[in-house]
Amino acid sequence: MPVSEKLLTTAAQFSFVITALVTMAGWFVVSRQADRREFRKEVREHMAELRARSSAVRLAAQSYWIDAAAKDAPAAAAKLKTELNSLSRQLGVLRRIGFVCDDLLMVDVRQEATGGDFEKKGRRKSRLDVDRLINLHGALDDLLTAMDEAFYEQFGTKPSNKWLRVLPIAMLPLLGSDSR
Amino acid sequence: MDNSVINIARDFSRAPGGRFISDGPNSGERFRKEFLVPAVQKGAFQVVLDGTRGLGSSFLEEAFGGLVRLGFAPDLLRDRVVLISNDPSLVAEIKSYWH
Repeated sequence: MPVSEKLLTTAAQFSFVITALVTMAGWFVVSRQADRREFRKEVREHMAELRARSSAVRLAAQSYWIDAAAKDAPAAAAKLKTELNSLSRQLGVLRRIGFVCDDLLMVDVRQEATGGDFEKKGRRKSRLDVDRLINLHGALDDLLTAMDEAFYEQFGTKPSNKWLRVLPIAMLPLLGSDSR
Repeated sequence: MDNSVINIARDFSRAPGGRFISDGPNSGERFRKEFLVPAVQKGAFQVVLDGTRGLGSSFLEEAFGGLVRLGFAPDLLRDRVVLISNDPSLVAEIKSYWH
């Protein structure tokens, strides 16, 4: 028997190994992508919650610095601090799953929201309160932008990952030996 | 109270707020005078920041930043005061007052 024919026979005998390898590679890729998709979905929900917490801080700050009458100020101040706590907790959740931003961004938010005359007895409203709110919006936007960047840094398409998508297709020709 | 640990929520107030004593009973100024200054003079200690209903920057600045205005060197404060919190931004904020 010629050597080439011998090789073909041997390949045919072990074709199930190739089939198994291709199947396992496909399973690996699909499973990895499904996990990644689920994780991305979960992170998106956390990011949406972060935006909701951020909006709540904006509203509570508007209420304290602009809208609230003097007698309602303590309640509005307490609400604002609670909302800041919630925002910070949500950042903590994202930090635990690997999405981190500079702590100073949250510091900026807290300082704009509760710095200066915050909780001062007999505080009088002034034009500076509007500036403070504008700065707070800016600080919150910076925070959200940083978290968005952290998200896309992890989930953006990386060239190094693209080969995984075509791996099962690239291995399909190997299945040809199975039909022998 | 363990002398080397100050837990703001447990030892001072669950709802600290305000900068000056004139702003309310749970102000940063009172916390600084009654808790922080005696503790810093004594030696190293820990401050637990968690467990309150929220800490405003006006409170934090007056309590912790006020120590520098009183004449305590930032290096001494960084050495003696250990800040404990699940929220790293609180620790970062307080340390930013110790420049």
